[in-house]
Amino acid sequence: MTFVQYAVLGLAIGAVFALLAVGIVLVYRASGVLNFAHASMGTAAAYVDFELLERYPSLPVGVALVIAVAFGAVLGVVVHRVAFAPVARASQVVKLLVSFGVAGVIQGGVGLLWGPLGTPSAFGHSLLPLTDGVSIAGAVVPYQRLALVVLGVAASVGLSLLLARTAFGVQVRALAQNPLAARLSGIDDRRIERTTWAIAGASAALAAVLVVPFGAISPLALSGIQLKSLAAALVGGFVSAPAALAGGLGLGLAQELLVGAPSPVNGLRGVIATALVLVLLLVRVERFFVSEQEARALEGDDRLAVRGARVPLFGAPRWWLVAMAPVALLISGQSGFWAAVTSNTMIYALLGLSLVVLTGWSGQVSLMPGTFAGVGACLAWVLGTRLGFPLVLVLPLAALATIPVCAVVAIAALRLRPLYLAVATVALAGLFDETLFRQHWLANAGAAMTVTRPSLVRGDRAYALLVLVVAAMVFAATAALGRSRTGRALRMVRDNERAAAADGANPVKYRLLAFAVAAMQAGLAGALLAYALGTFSSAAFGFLVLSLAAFGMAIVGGIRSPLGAVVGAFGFVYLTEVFRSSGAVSDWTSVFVGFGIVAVLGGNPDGLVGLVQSLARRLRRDVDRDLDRDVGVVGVTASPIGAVE
Amino acid sequence: MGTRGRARLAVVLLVGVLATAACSGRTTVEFETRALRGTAAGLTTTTLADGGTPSLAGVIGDAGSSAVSGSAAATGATAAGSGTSGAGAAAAGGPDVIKLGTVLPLQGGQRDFGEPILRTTQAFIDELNAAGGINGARVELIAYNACLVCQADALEATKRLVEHDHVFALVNTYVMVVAFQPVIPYLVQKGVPLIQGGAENQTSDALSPINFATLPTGAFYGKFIPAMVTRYAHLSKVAITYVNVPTESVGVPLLRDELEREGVEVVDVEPVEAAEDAVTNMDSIVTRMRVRGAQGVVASNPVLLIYGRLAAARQQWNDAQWVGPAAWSALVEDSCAATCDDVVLTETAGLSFTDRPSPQMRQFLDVMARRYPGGRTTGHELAAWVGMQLLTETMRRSGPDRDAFVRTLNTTTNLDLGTTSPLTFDPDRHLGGSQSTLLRLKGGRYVRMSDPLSFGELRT
Repeated sequence: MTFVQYAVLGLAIGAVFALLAVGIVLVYRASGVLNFAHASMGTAAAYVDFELLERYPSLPVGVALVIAVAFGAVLGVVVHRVAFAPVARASQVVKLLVSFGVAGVIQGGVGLLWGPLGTPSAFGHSLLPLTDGVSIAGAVVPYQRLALVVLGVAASVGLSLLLARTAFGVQVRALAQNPLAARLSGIDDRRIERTTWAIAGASAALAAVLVVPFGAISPLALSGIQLKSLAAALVGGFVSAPAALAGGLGLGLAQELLVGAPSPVNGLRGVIATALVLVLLLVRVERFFVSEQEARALEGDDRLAVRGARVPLFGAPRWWLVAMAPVALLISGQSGFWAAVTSNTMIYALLGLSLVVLTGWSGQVSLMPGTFAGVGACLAWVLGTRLGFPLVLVLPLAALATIPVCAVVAIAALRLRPLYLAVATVALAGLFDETLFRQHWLANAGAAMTVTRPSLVRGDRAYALLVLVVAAMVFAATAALGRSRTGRALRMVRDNERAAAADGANPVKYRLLAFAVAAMQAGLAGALLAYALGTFSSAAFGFLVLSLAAFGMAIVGGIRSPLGAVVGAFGFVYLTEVFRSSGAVSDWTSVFVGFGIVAVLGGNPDGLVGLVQSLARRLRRDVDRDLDRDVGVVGVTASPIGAVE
Repeated sequence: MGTRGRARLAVVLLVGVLATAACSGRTTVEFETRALRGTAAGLTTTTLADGGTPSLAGVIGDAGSSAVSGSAAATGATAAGSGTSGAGAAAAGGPDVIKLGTVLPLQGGQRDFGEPILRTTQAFIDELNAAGGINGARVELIAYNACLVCQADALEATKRLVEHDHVFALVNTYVMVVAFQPVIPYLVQKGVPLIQGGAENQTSDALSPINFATLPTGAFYGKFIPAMVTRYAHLSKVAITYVNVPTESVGVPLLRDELEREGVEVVDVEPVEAAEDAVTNMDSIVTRMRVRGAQGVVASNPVLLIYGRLAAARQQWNDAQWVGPAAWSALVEDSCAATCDDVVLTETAGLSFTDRPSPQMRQFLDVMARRYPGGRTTGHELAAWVGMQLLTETMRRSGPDRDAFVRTLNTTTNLDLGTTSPLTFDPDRHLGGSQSTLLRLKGGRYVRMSDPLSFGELRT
């Protein structure tokens, strides 16, 4: 196969990345939102196109495309209004997490609305005949792919001109560089953002409708190429449309050229996008495209919390140990099945706790708790099964041995601002899936691994009691950490790094410490989960399966409080099991969790725990007022002081 | 009571309600798909289309009188006579109800894999109950959702079925290859049988002690695929493409060796990244295979067969033959349609083709046509029907005793259910199939292009 053939195919593939990347750039430029739901928005529009053509076969394909693109624009506006407008002043990291929630809602909603698509043609309808195309050096490029290339180029040129040459573009740039000054000068920021979201939604719809016929339509149809589109957008620092176009085309080209390279270089094809993301993040590529001032304005407030300096609920360490008694009683009285559910709940709570320390207290967003848990699980197999270590040694060693893996992430974290760290961890999670979890020595080359519980804890009830003891100790230790000087320093570094440094708290030290503690907790959770499963493979710890679930769980429960991790896990694991038999509920899980993330981050950053706390505080105020009134009456009559009023 | 007291009471009540809901032995709710809700009321008592007496096992409404060949009947009779009490019988929920469980992807995009299996299994059970159940006991199906790779969720759902719902056995979970990795050892530990109509290409010849499937063995496939390539597709140079996950990649070197042993040159091997390459890269993969001189392609996975052939059509590579195991599904037929005519070659995964003139096959087709007018009856559905046939026939003889049930299966030889090749199991062989039938797509539908081929025929 010749270079020209590879190049032709690469450019055709890269055009898809480019068209999606340009939309990502536009939204980021106008709203500071790095939208992980961009591809999902396109997928929803592709379903509309599909549905129209299935219901009305006589409808011209072009008309359906126009309607779908219009739907994409409306969806963009709705998503902005409902999900992102409430967090307009929040940090980019919060907006990123909201975008995960939006993606969950859209994917879940699409699944609920359209369900199985096995019977009709599930491959979408193409605008142009897919079997007609141009033959270039032996490779046939269908016209529809050429259309994608042309549209990608046209969209990026058009958007560049829009930003550079029009009053609208000047307003967008002004808002990006200095939002306050822009608003004071009369620029309607909401209108600008609405318009950009509409354009982005339309471009996502266009890309999806054109590309879906090359594969099958499903709720996750385009999620696989979301990361590559982000990588393409990152080539332009998320702000340059022409660079994003070049990035998309270049990525497609590189991917294809690598295939033709000699072994083992051709093995890099699967990791090129993630490697590109990491390199671009580390060199801080955005500085080549925007001024320092604009970059800072886009970053927004770096703290995770939208607002609120309320003290989250840590709980005294002793309460975690005291709580063991009733839970132990509960486990002892449960059937083996419910004891297993309880132990799974506690394991997920441990996983959530790692996010409390890392994200809630330290303000660093890592989207790879599932990866660390996977490392812990694999280490349980290596240590427990291959090396024959007893369980009591395996658990602490698996937790500790996770630290070297986390060091890779932590070192990157020191160089990256929060948004880029979050993106880097997504890329790293993918990289680990492709590399570390395919190693024979660590993960049995991705095949099944078996660990056996010692006879003392072989039963589900006995194992649940073991998990309870471990979890209670870890929660108590974490609660103690939160109340200690170290915990205060972690939060101080999160809230104001310079002030913390001035106060003698070394930010580097505390950020690394948070990573190490979180990795150990996640690793421990993974090892415990491995023993709970007995036989497992690294596929069970993938990014989509575990990391996003853990994040959703922690955010909805309350990511700044250890109790939030427990509440989130209870809802996510225990209640899901309670409602499992009424099958319809599980259909809504993705939608519920997605809405939960959006609602929590938009309204109450401390999640359910924060909500209960504020309700309790309000109740207490009411009670105090009642008491005051009572005491006042009594005081007036019984006491000469009586000076309550 | 003050505000504080009311709040405390509310919290206590809430916790109480949750704890009660969680810990009580609730009545299980039978899962019904939307389609089932719409048609369940229209069920009628099963009768055979021609009213004839079945000569083979596996017809609903012919309780226990089937002529089962070989030792299965004799052993079964012994087991039935001796073992309707004990732990297994208790687990079955008493003599009046036999509970069966299944765990399938029933949510989101993965529903496509789970719902046809659930629908068919439920259809069989409804017909069975209408005809008097198994030895007078009504059969109940409880189905839970878990995604295809969600191991923790699948294990939890299975534990619920076994420990909370007290099912006798699990059936038809054959698409849950990855998710069931932790489930199989658990079922072995609990002694709960797992009965599958084989529709997935599993390569293990001897499944676990409790796991029985109707698919032919891995050794059979080792000969069968090269035979498809050389004798029926007439290819001497092929490319192999597979989904790059351990469950598939592990079999690729073996497949390559077998092909080369048959004199077929493997000119290219293309791993496909599941979620992404099928959308973005298939054109490129196909072009490479073509440029490297492949005359055809062996696709390890039914979905790849479709994506690949469609991409080949886009590349105007229309003379290439596409060969793959177990791709007899509505997804392939509907999605590929006429594009795949004459160039896609697959097989029935040990099942009989639907043109087999047996009463059991007629019954399957009639029931499905009546309950799901316009629905499909491909291998994906037939495998679920076959799984239930095997379970029902075995249980009629063993009674609701798990040990006897497994013993009966382990001594089953040449059991002809009328919908699959004759099944033979023994303690070392739990893949019972012995033959498979070649299929080609014509006019967007599969047609049979060979009689059932046995291992002996392939070896020559």
